[in-house]
Amino acid sequence: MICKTRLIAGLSLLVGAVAACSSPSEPTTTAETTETAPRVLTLYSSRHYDSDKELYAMFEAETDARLEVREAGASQLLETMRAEGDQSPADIILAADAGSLWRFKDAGLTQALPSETLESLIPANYRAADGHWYGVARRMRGIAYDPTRWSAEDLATWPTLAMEDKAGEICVRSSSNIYNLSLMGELIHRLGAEAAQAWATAVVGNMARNPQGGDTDQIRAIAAGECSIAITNHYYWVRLSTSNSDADQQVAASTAFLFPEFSEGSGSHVNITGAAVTATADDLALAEEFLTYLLSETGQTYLTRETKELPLIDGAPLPEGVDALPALSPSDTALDIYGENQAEAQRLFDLAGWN
Amino acid sequence: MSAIHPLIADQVSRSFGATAAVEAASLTLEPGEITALIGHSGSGKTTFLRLLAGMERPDRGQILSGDTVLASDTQHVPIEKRNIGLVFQDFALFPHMTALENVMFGLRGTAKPDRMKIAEKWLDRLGLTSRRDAYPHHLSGGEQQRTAIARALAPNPVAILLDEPFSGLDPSMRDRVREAALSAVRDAGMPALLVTHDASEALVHADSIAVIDRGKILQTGTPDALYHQPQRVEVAKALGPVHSIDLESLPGQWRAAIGSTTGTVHYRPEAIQLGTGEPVMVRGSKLAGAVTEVALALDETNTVYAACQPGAPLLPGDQIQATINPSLVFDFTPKMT
Amino acid sequence: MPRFTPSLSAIPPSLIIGLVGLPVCIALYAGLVGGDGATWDHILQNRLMPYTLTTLLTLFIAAVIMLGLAVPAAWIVTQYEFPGRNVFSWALILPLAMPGYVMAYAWADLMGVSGPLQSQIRDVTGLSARDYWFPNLFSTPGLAFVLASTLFPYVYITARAAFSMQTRATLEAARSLGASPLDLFWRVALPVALPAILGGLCLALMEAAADYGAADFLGVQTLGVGIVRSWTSFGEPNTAARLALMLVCIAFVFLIVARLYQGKSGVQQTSTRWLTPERSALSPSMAWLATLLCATILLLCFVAPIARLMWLAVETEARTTDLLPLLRSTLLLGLFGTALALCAALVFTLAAKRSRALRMGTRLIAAAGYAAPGAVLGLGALFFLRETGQPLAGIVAVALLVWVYVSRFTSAGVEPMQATLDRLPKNLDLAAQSLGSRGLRQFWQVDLPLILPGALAAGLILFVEILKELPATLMLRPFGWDTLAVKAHAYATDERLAQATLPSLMIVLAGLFPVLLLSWRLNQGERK
Repeated sequence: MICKTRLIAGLSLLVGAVAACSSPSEPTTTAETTETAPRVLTLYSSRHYDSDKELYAMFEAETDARLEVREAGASQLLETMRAEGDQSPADIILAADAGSLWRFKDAGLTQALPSETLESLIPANYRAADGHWYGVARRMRGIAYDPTRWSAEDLATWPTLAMEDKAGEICVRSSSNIYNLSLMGELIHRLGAEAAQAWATAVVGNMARNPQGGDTDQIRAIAAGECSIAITNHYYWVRLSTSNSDADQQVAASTAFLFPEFSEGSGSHVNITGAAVTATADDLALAEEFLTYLLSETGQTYLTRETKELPLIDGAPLPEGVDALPALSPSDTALDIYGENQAEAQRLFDLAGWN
Repeated sequence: MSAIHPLIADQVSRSFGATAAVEAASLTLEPGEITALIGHSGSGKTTFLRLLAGMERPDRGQILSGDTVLASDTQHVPIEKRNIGLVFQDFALFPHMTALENVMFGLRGTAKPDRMKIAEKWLDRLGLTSRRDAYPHHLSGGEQQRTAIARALAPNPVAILLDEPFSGLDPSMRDRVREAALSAVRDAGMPALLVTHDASEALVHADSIAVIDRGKILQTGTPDALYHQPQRVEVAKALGPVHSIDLESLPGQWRAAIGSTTGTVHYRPEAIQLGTGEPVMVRGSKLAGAVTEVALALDETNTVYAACQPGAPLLPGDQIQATINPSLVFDFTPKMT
Repeated sequence: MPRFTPSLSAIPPSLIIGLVGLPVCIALYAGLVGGDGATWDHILQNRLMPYTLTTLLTLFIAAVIMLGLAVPAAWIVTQYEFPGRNVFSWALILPLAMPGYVMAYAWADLMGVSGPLQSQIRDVTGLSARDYWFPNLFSTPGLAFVLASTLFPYVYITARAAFSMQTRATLEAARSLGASPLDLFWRVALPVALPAILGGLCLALMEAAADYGAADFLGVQTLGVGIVRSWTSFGEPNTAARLALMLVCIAFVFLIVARLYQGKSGVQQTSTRWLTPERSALSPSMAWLATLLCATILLLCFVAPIARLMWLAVETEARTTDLLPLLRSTLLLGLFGTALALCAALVFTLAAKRSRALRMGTRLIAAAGYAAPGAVLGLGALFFLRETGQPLAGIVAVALLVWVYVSRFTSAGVEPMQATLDRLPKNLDLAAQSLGSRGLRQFWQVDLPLILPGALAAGLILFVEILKELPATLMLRPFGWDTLAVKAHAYATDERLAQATLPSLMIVLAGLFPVLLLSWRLNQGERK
């Protein structure tokens, strides 16, 4: 931190001017920073929602700490931190996937944050046992389907997608998408690599078209009649149903959503947005304060209001539209599995011919 | 083989905006003859060539090949249908084709081996046999221009128009290239127009000469006729140096030879012949190629200029004698009748 | 003095070569020596061939489309008068302002199964989406079309310059030999212009090869996608760098093939008359056909996608955060990057003028950066960051980012300047030297003024390229320096196309001004 402020202060006039006009949204100028030296928390986030920025601003207002945020892909942030080494300004990593958090931990970039507050707030399977990361919101991978074509029983488990009656009916995005990889990670964990590959191969055989576009495009394809089953995260479906556009609302209305299990009673695939404290962070109290804030009612509301994720804390207000989702019985798989199995998942997808 | 016709421009005019580039110009190019069109830059000679070729459309007048109308008020045969050969100052060879391919370009209607034979014949004719497979950027300037001439002649055009074809060449090779090129053109037998600003080129190589100035063709005739009987001072100047002098300032003997006593006359430098005659004083001299130019003082204020064979050095102040040849003195004063 | 004594004048080019080449070289080197990751075997056995073949197929189709769009358009615009010619002659450069990924979003929305075109078909015919055939944009030809439609202006610019540079005499000689207008194009104008056109095509293809955004969105498995996937899915940056090496090799092959072709065929003649061919009139029906052709190209490559994006933004009442700060950092980064890349390109071009060996060397180095995806150059920069032990913030981050811009885009700046130099008489240099001008003085008094028109064109192209740049900016930008491209990407990855539209349109708008300036300058150059 000190190093960085000294560096900024030492900048030439030109860059000083540039830096000042580059971040006009932040009321504090660099000069003031050096004088009053407020506490600074640097966030490396792979999320990029406008509502997150509002949340950060509220945290700053409440705590007089200042947040610096770098948003980029998780892999890029990871390489950046590796390159920065000891000098990394990062204090908190915010990632929209448990597998990514595992990667940071695996690379030795995180540290344990023992916190009774956080442990009491967060159910055990949504945080690392050793305190290296904590979940803050939930995101589920599920299935949107054409209710005139299928009943919920037909699609009750993921293996049902591999059955022959689904031939030419499935729409899904490409395999390198992190949500597909995490889902495959849990399938590998539960079924074994061989069976998981066989499942992927069968699903590829049942696809209505080559994997393409994003999750929303898959749901729209159902409405357009190109397929009747779309693998998608729940919030894309919720966003369509709460969209300003009538066309979008009609798309959501013509489809139904469900959370398949792996086998009957296994529970459904859950992913998280989570936070980890970096190995280079020194103000752990501030880090804990920030994480606790994310789990407060305000934090949960702002994290999920725009994204339509599910709050992690029971009793936190639900974002508009998620009440249309069916009841959820989450799987109790330890989420570290997603990260551990990620490369294997991609390899099996490649072999299965899932683009 | 089609019969060879003259190429005729009849009262052709063309203006660009308010300026008349060519004005009521008439000229007949006879088969087998090389007609030189001379004029300084901006005189309209290139526009005239472009009108004949079909690159420009005349505003008024007709262009004919024999009886065939190429351009008139109602008709315009486009350049690609006229079959008129063109040779440009900057060669304009196709850079992506060999010399042979360049010459073959305009040949069509026959099988490839035949076209190749014809093209090779023309390359031979112009002394380019060994360069047939070379690309233009590997050819010397002279070779490029000869290739361009072969290319223009190969399709057996109804006429060939050469636009300053030799002025881009190195003087050391210019004569040789010109000799080879023009003899090939003459042998081919079609009407040929040689646009040039080089009077000596026109005088030496053309069968007839037309002088153009400010868009008008002033006079047409054989080189001899134009050189010796120019009808206007512009024509005289176009064909070689002329100087003007008041008759009153000339020695009486010279005035007698000319047969006129008042007014201004023009004379060619070679009209003044050194040796015998009136006494004059050498003011200065300089060697100019084949001739020596000598400035001769008639008295305190009047000087005449002579061109003579180099001989014994003439030094300023030398007193010599000179006569005037009246056939090279031109009186352009309008005759009062 | 012996000729090959290293002279002082070789120092700046060497420095610049180091500067431009370093990020890509470091990344590739790190990839090669970094050890096999667990997945390298898997990639090698199962994915390398498909990735490479898909990439080559994409590039081939894109090349055909670009030539098909740009060359006829450039020809009719330079040769004929027709309604709207004046507008089309510059408007056809506009698609350059569209980032490839934005074009992909727009066309995916237009052509997608739930897009307006297919919905219309279903409404009218009552068919379901499975009952009729519709061209699939999410395919290799679809990706090729999307990339070609934003990059064809590179080919158009060079083709237009090449056509208008041809001496009038050459074309008239061909006509006097009986060549029809079609003959003129196929047998004379095109072969003569082809070496220059190939140069523009090479540039466009390298840019297309480095694409990730459009290919990923359309689900086409190119090397660019494979590179990012090796990194994000497999967590192996080394493998990513090795795949990037494949891309760089492809680019080298393109360059060398183009070079061989350019060397083999005749060069444009050294004529003293650089007359622009006069444009001839067309018959009314042909003239309208020409107008229709240009209008269709412009509609497909610019108007339709832009109009669709605007419609999306309006329909969904898209709101975004304040974009002005983003515009400011976008423009500032663009200016820094352009200034430095332009200097590098200038030094390259002038160095190449003095030595043939340097010329090919500098071209290859610049091409390596141009063909490598921005993400891979970003890796190279991070490798360098690790050595310095600095955090990625403040001036360090700006410097690294600008460095990557220079490394990535210098190639795009060298070409227009080289083209300007190629037009000048060769003996101009000798003339200058004979007048006692050398070294710095020659640079200021002779080289710089001569190269200036090309440098302006180069600067504008560089600026537009940097505006659009995404992966490296995303990785390396300092805190608070989000650019428009970063914002558009953030919305798009979150599948909020309508919101992504606003920053995308602003990129296009910001790019439009330099593109217009570029068109205007090219027109001026033509008239000379």
